[in-house]
Amino acid sequence: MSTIHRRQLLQALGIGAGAFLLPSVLSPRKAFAAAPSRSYVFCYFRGAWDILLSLDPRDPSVFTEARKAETKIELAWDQIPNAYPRTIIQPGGSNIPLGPVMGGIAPHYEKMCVVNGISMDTVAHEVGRRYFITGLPPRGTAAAGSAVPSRIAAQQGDLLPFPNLVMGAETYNDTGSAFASGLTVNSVTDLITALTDGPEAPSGNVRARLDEHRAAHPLCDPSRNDRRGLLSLFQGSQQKARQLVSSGLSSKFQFLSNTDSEMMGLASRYGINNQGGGLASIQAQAAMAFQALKYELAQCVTVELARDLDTHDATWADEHPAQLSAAFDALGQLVTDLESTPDPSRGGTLLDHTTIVCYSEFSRTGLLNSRGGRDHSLTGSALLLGAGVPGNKVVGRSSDVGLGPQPINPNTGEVQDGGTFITPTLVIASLMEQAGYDTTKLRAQGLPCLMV
Amino acid sequence: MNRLAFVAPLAALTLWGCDVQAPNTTPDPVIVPYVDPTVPDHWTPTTPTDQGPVDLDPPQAPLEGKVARRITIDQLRQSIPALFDGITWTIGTGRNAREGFDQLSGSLGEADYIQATNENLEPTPLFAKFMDDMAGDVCAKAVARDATKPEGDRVVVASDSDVAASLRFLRLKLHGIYVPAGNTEGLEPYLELHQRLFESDGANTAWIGVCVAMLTAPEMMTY
Repeated sequence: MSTIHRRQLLQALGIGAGAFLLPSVLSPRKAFAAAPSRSYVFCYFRGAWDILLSLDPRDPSVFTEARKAETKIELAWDQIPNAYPRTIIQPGGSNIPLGPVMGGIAPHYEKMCVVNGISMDTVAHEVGRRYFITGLPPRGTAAAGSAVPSRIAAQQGDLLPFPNLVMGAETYNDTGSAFASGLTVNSVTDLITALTDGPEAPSGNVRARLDEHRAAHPLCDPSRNDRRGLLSLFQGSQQKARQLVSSGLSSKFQFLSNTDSEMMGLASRYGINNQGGGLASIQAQAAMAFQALKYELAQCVTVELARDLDTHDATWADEHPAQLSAAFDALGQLVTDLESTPDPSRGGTLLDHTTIVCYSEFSRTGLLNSRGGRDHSLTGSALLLGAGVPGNKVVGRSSDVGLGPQPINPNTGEVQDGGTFITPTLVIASLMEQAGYDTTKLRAQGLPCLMV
Repeated sequence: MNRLAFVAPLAALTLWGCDVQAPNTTPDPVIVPYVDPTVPDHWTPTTPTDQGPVDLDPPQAPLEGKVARRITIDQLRQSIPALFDGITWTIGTGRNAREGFDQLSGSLGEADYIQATNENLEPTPLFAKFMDDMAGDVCAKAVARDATKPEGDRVVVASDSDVAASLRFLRLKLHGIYVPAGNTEGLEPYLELHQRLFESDGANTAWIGVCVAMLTAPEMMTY
């Protein structure tokens, strides 16, 4: 009887695995492949948000002006414009108390999870920002790894034209997958420009002959110059760029069009107009995120939903609520649109396959400073929505004295002495682990209370 | 008498007890000197041959040499006017004309050191698309200007009568590849492109097409 040795068995298995993988290695990548199993929208609130106005409010009848010396918490809701309620917003059935500026997103409580009492360990904007963008504590002020969207796109693969579309936020990529780098655009106008040929770009006969030439053009000494595949990648990008332009997708982002009924509908729903910043506005960014997911243009989209939240002076009373309110209104519309749009590729609605992550650098102090504004606080909050998010839930809580971070029970999310302090790393690890992505680089396991 | 009767048996018992001690079964501990596996033993005298023969000239893996990198936006910003005698990529017309590299700096991945501190040097589809726009704009302007200049002052069409000579000129200028006179190695695809466009659209369009093809070739965009 012949004996199979361990070495022979491994050899056979290796050849088998190679044969199995070979077609995927040799066949060219499709430019418009299937949508990923999970899409992501990352919403950055620049400047550090006021969580008392938004995600971590307090009952104004308990946290009164008279007790502020004791609680170190001063709501000061009497100073914000009358347009906002002076009470906590909490629709019937909701377990999530929300501040007065969150009326636009409150109806979606069943799809929301608020994470409070996050320990940010910094009051420096760039550090807090990069902590949440990468899920890793920065080294000094430098980002310590890839941005989370790059990390996710790299694991999903190069599936859609823009694996990682970024507007208004930093992006980093050390995954080794070039396609996962953030494609940064400054405004929706830039995105339209990217999807449209410039006025002097080759056209007609020149374009046709040029495309033929490129398809047949051999690389110069590929064994030496293309060892790492950069030249081939560049040629692939040229082909992909042509597919993007010829796809006609630019028409899906012309939100100021007066003739296209879809665009007029979007402009009306999101409130996009020339007076409010037009295609550079936060409303246009929210609409862009929706269209990019609807038309399967992007796997991960990052937008900047608020820009000037760093209100250390009296502008806090007017500008901060206005910025936050506009951002949550736009976010609410985005959720409504995603929830009501069928997903032809994956079934259900777009929101069933989309996770939304809202974050800021940290938050603002519980007490007003001498200039009538709020300074930087070490405590942070995050808002999670959509697929893979435990709905109608609050995890963690800042302390009732001074809004400090508090440890939680990782299983329940309730505050518990001697428990675990929530960090951006744990929030990101929970989201990625729940969706089945590798979190080795984060060196952390997700919190069970954040994973459904 | 009474005292003797008490002390004698006690003394005998003490002597007997001293003689009948239980045998000690525990062996003396053997002290093994601790050797830290992470620290090489530098202090025990050895001779060079103790560790076996040494290959003083081991075979080396072939050196990889420089790896190709994508050209940066600032390199393009400075190179394009230098290559095309001051002509550069502009967006808009008249008073609204802006340099394309500046206007689209962020979207092209250039660091602004406020929001982005690292330049994105990936050859993305977005970059490729904007390079087509850039090349189309620059080449159209350069070919139009060449038509008004003597051959010696031109930047694209070095010779009206000798297509191969103009291609050699562009190959060296844009790709850094010298093609000797009389040789067309590496020029064939460009000759064919020129020929096909010349037949359908005339000389100027043919040169714009060739210029765009060479300006957006991987040989130009990487170094």
